[in-house]
Amino acid sequence: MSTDLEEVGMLTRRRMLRVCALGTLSLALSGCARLGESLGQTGDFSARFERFEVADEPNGDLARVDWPDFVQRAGPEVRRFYEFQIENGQLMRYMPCFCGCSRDGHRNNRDCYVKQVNADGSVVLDSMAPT
Amino acid sequence: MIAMKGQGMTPRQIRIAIDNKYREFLEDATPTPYPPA
Repeated sequence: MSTDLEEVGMLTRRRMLRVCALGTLSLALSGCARLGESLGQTGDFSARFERFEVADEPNGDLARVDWPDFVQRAGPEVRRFYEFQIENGQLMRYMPCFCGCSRDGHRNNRDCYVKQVNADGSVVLDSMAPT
Repeated sequence: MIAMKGQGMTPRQIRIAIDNKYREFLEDATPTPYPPA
């Protein structure tokens, strides 16, 4: 683990953002079977976050997404992350990001991907995660 | 997430797993509450 921390310490802020935002979602997408199996041996940090209010994160409509260049250039895996975020607001509003983006006003992991969901289901995407 | 849902993990279990994975960085976490129990 010390190697991981040393690596993180050498990261630029932007790279750190990418590592954390994508890393968190990668973990979520990959299933983290070993973590799931060992939940009984891990800590519950819920008390640390209980004073915060959950953000409203409505789902967007993928059919109405106009994919920006920064997603297209990033490749299919990153696009899949965006698709997942767009379609799973009710879950991702409970998932954090650890990159320090709370200083930019982010309330959860989804804020690194989705800036706004409009009434018609179209979305405004954030470029923080892949850039 | 798809895989975890397939394993039957709840949103709260997923959140616990993520917080433990990144526990060294909890000081920098967004102000995101836990899913209901």
